Order: sequence, then structure tokens, then C-alpha cells
Amino acid sequence: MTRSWIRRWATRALLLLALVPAVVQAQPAQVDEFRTLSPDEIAAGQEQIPAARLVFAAYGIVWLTFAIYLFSLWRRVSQVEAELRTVATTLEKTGR
Amino acid sequence: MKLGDRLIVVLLAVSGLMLTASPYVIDTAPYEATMGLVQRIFYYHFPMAMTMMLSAIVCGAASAWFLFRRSERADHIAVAAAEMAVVFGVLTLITGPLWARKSWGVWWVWDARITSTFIMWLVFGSYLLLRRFGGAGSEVLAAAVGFFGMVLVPFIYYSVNLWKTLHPSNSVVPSLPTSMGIPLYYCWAAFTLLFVALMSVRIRLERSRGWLERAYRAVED
Repeated sequence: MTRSWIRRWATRALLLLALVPAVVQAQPAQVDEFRTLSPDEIAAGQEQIPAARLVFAAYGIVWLTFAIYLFSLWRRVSQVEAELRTVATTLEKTGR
Repeated sequence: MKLGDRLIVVLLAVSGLMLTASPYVIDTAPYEATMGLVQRIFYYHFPMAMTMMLSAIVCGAASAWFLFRRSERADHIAVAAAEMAVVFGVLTLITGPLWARKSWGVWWVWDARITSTFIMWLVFGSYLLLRRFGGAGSEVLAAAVGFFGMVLVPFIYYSVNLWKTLHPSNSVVPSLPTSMGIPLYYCWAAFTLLFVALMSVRIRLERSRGWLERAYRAVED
């Protein structure tokens, strides 16, 4: 009873494992080089993916992130330099 | 204005102008045959990924220098580079999925390169958290973290050769036609200049913080 149960499940597991290469092969192939699209192919409408929104989002996010980062850097530098000036004045007053 | 400050302003202005013109330069590149328009994300994605790896190498090397020599200057460079790795890393990890959504039909896959890049980003995020909340002495522990972050760079770079992955292989960039290569190298130069400018400002901030700390100690004494 136990033996036949093990055999049955072992067979199923092996069948599942046999499916793995098929699933892996079903994935899109890795790209090794980029090929340019000819004007004829563009005219024939081969660029089927309307990707403009994704491209604009990518560029927009990059620009926005750098703008925010630059602002944050400028604020941190200003704060530290203002504090430095205050402390320097205090030190001068106390004659140190 | 000091010469160093002037140089930073010039670098920021040049990189800003180059990035403003970048969409026009990218527009001169032809469409890629299988991916079409969405492949244009590559012209930002790749330079940012390379800059992230450069930041990791700079942080790792400065951390090693700090661990052996306890140099304050090395520590300032390491902190600045770790922050650059996080900023350029997050942009790499955002632009990549935007590209993948159209090219692969999914936002994310747990393949070797993408996962290892994400892990490296977490390592440098941990570095910054450690510096922010670690308290006294955290700079030594953070330096060790930064060094191990750098060790991940070759692993990320060669991951596409070692494992089966959806990510484009390392042979893509050397085999690019000139019409695609020019916009790529242009954007890469712009982001590298931006990296140098931001690093200089960030190092200056760290140096000023050091002076401030010493000044406060002098006031207390």
C-alpha cells in the first residue's frame, strides 16, 4: 500500500520535473544584440507596442528624482553652512 | 566663489544641459526591431546602472581605505558614493521594470541580474541606515558593509553569462550600431558628469558636517 503510494507520487514528481525544461524553453529568448528597424518595417506597422507612456514615465521619473535630490542636497548644505556660521560667531565671541 | 565650487557649478550646468538635450539626441537613434519605441528607455537605464556600479566600486574602495587607514576623507567619499549608489540604483530599478513591462509582458522577474541588482541596492540602503541610526562607531561596521557591496559588482555584471536570464546579455552594448551607440555614450557621459558633480557636493556636505561637529565640541569645551 505504502510502496505503491510512494511509487505513484514519485512518478508524478518525475513527470512534473520533465515539464520544467518545456516551461523554461517557453520563455522569450535572451537578447544578444539589438537590430535596427528599417523604415519599411516602421511603415508596415511592425512597432505594435504603444510604449510612449512608459518611455515618458521613465524619463520623467529620472528627471523628477534628480530635481528632488538636488533640492535636498542644496537644503542640507545650506543648513549645515548656516549652523557653521552660527557656531563660528559663538567661538569668535568667546575668543576661542 | 572658490575654484572647487565654480567647478561643481560648471559640472552641474554641463550635465544639466546635456540631459536637457538628451531626448533630442536619443530621437536620432533608429527603432530597435523587436522592442520598438520602449527600447529607448535603455539610453537612460544602462548609464544609470553603470553609474550605480561605479558608485558601488568607489564606496567599496573608499571603505577599504577607511578600514585600513581610518582616513576621514575616505569615510566622506564612502558615504557620498553609497548615497549615489542608492539614488542611481533606485532609478535603475524603476526604469528597468517600465521597459520590461512591454518587452517581457511583466514588471519584474526574479532572474539573476535583476535580483542581484536589487540586493546590492538593499546593501547600500543598509549602509546609509547604519550611518544614520547606528550611533558612535557605526562608520567601521558601515565600511565593511560598503566593501561587501562592492564585491557584488562583478557578480551582477557576469550574472547574465552565468545563468539563463531574460535580461539582455553583455554583448549588446559592444555590438550596437553607431546610430544607437552615439546616443548611448552621450547619455552615459551626461550621467557620469552628473555623478561627479553630485559626489563633489555630497563630499563637501560630509566635510562641513565634520567641521561642525568639531566646532560644537570646541564650544562645549
